[in-house]
Amino acid sequence: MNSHKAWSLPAHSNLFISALIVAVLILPGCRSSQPSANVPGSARMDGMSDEDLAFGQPLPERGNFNPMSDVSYAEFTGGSMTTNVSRTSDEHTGTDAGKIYFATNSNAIVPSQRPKLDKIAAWMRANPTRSILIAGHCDERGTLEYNRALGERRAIAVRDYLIGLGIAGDRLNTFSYGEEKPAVPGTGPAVWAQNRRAEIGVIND
Amino acid sequence: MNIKSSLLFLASVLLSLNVLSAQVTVRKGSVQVRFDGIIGQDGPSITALVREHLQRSGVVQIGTGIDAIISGTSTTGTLAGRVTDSANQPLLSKTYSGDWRDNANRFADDIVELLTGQPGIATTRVAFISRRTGHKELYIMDISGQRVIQLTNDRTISGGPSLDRNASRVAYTSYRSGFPDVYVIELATGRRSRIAAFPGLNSGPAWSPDGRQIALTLSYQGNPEIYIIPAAGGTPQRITRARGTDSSPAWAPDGRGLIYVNDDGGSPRLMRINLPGGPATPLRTGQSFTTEPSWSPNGKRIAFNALTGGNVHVFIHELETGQTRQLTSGQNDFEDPSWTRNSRHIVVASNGRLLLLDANTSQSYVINNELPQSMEPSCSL
Repeated sequence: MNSHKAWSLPAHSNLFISALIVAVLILPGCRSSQPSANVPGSARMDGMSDEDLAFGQPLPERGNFNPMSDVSYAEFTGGSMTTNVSRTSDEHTGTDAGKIYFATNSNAIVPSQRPKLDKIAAWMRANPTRSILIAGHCDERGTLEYNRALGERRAIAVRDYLIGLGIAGDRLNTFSYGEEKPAVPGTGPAVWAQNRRAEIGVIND
Repeated sequence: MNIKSSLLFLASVLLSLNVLSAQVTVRKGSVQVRFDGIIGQDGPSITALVREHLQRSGVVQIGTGIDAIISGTSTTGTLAGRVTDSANQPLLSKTYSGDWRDNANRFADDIVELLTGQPGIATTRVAFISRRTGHKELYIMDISGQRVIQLTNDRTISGGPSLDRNASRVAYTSYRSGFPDVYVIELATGRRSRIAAFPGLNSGPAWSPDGRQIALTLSYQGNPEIYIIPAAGGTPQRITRARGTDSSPAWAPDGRGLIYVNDDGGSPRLMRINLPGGPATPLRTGQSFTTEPSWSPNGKRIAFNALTGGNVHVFIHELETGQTRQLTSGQNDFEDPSWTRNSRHIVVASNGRLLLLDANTSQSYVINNELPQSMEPSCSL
């Protein structure tokens, strides 16, 4: 057994260790292809390679709540709701506090969105008894079933990122609406950018 | 043996058995028939339905009757169908009992199989989703668009139905508990059971060809991956291990493989994996943003969606040659292709309507089910 000091690692070390365990467990079944470029940011911590991503952390048991009715999306508001689509990519760089935006087909947490998650993590530290629902959404393009899965993948990317910030995974529930609940009706790049999102809601007590 | 003598031979067989049991070798792509119509109870309706099935088959041309002459007589609950050759020698004489639509569909399938050796698809059932009520609910209908039955009235989101091969059970995703779960409805009894309710997403069920298992997407282990579970529910067997999104599994008709969607590389693409396990390899279609595969019952063709030119279109990938071609085009979307039993026709959703597509001729036919906002079709085999 190492000394106690050896285990006094930064807050993210548990994540790092569990990620390593996960990696060891899943590696034999992994395909040999390279991790993709879009794997991102999501849950990547400084000094960690893609292999160390906290990817594949089991989801918490379902709580005793209805994710379609017992969740308040009013907690994380503020910031500008103005549509602001990056010219160099199709990321929506909007600062609307409770919505994390994504590029097309992507589940990467882009830099413009990370300050929102820092604030959400701070709120969760200040409210240690509360849990959140991360609801993933897609734009109308593509097929319904793929979008159901992509919405979940986006929610999980947000969850992994918050775990990386030290929030316990059992407080982070994921949900996918696929393309069923667009934030904005209509069509076209500006609309799509606002609809590719994960919305953060607080589960009612 | 030319076609006439083979038809004569068949006729003698059929006269003695009064059962359809043999095939005719056809010398060209389609047969020419004369359709004299069905007389008697519901005659015009039966005539119209049989005619529509024959016209959509792509292998029976209604015209002068050089190969066969079709007629019939109906009473309430029965249809006596007759097929003769051009010299009036009987090829088929069969009485069908049941609802007039069942009788018409079965007669149409017998005609196609008798004259072409190919299975008819008139008796196919189609499960699908419609938002007619304002909510996405599950429905089932004949492939003609007739006999629509609304299966759910949950006022929530229902999606992604998979009909088993003999149209006895439909699996689908419903948010009725608040969470996206997978349910199976037994059509004969109306009994519904929830078979997958794991944390996270439970979605995209697909019946195995033997009807014993369901492939689906689950995320409870921390990523949307493909799993297989027993049809009655139970412990999932994990099939894929990827970083991105895995979804939309389609079974090989022999049950020994899956094609599904993975987006590790950015855009979603089709992957193939053998069962019970093995490495996943990309299916090289030459298209990007490919989703929603359907594996033809003869094992040779993959129909799938690709986003091209701003619209979702249907493509056909031939497994034997590795070639891929675009089946639909234009400014509409054509989503969620589902093969029928003849490995030639596909049902697909386009802007709220369901269409029957002939993959050989690219002909398309509207399935008039009189339901707006229909989508996500799944055919019985």
